[in-house]
Amino acid sequence: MKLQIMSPAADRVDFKVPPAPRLSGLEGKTIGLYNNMTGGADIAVDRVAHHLAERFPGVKFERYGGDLRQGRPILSRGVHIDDDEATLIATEVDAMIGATAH
Amino acid sequence: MVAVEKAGVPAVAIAARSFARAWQSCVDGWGQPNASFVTIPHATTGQQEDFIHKMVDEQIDEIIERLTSIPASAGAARGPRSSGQTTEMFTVELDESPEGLDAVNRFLAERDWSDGIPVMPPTPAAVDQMLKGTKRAPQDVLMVMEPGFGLATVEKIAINAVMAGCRPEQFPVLLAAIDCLAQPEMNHRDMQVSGHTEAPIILVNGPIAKKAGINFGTTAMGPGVINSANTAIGRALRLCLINIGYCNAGAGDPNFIGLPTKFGMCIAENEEVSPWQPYHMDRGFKRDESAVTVVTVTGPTTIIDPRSKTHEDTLKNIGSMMFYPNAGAGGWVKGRQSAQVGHTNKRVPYQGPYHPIILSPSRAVIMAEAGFSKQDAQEWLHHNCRVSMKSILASGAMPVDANGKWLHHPELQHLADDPEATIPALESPEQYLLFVTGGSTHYANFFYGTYGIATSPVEDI
Repeated sequence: MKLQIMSPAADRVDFKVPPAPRLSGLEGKTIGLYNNMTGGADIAVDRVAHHLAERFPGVKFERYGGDLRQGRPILSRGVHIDDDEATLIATEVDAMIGATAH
Repeated sequence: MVAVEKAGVPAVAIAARSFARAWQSCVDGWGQPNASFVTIPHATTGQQEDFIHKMVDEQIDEIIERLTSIPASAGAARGPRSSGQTTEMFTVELDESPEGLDAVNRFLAERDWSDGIPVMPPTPAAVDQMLKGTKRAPQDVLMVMEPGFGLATVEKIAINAVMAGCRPEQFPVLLAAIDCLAQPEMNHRDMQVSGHTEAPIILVNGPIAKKAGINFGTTAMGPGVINSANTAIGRALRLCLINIGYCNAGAGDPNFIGLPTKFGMCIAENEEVSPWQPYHMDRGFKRDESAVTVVTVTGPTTIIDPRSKTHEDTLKNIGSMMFYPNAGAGGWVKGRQSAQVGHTNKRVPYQGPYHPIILSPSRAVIMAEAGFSKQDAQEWLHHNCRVSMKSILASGAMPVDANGKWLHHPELQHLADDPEATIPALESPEQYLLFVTGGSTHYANFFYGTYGIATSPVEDI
């Protein structure tokens, strides 16, 4: 016996984001360090910064997440960066390292 | 991190290995299946600094590499299909052998289109019959369901309802539940992708409960033929979350262990026995209207209370079971939570959490006989369930302005230096969602709410 069934899987919104161009090197670049304020994520990105500072002369860092000063991205626990914040961040850094506890 | 890439900045994320499939599922949904991330063996929460350093040290070369080169795509196993296409059909061959009888289930399981329990085959005839349970058009889109950004059309919902064993007269309840999820304050994205064990509970009020065959008495949330409507509606919502939202176990759904409640929860209020007005009237509906409320919860905790004889004893017993350290009580003083919606991650602040307290009718009667209305009981809980300001301040930084003034509740700032100061655990009394149902005995079930709440009318067919 043959039985015809309908697919339960939904069509998806067709949305594509091409990857940003990669850097040719990290020397002298400003690297964003984003932790989403879940436990230990700040330690993880700080450890990355430690290594980058040792390997690449002149590298600088901007930290995001946990910074509650006015005018900074309003990042709080587990919150995703929105488009407006990403636009602001893009004016401040050349690349971004992010971490979540999970 | 995809938002940052979209703004033209190369990005690399660090995530725990057990969340790799979840991460991939999310970046697929956000339209960048080759988004860069590296994994470390364990979640960093609670780990010692040296241990986190060791895990990062092992990945540092890979992190650097990802900033300078684009990895091959790891995801997008399910390529997006544009909307408006005819629903895909499949032909499955069945026979009387054990394997043949199970052919539809195996077909669906191979595609991860199930909750793991055998389903009813979603044949075109069965789906057509389900669609008779609504006046809505099959291609109407109720919401875009995350994390997969799937289009929740009435037809797709009907297909999943058939699979769950729903009947057409139950379909409007399911549709109303999805109308609830569509409201931003439900924060359905976080409900779907959080590592926290949480699940939606569907609370039904009004005449639809009887019409749909929903049990609101003894055993209503358990197994059994008398609970088949409760089970099928709850299960249908879960199947929609999997197949429309692409929240598949271990992928979009990274719950650390899951919960049996995630298979589905649906219950109606026992309006015939409750001494209080039904919950949907608290939300502005008339008694003879039907409404569905959805709340995201974890738990439940059963509150056993054979001894209380007064309304205050009853409430004290309930209040004693609700809050524990580090669970976020009092967090409202730092500002409301925000849901994030769509590909722009637009923020929508909402009040939450709402904690459903499933109250046996006999417990409500104790309070009503003492002259306590539902609102009185909510006020009592609000006043008496408190958390110390000291513990709130110890749980993370308080948002402040340039002068150090608290941004959200400056009127409470004077309490910061008082070691004895307490504030209500929740922002307002109605967040204690008292819902009277089940058999009349000395129990209550407390569900810990995690996000917001939404109530939607049920279509009258």
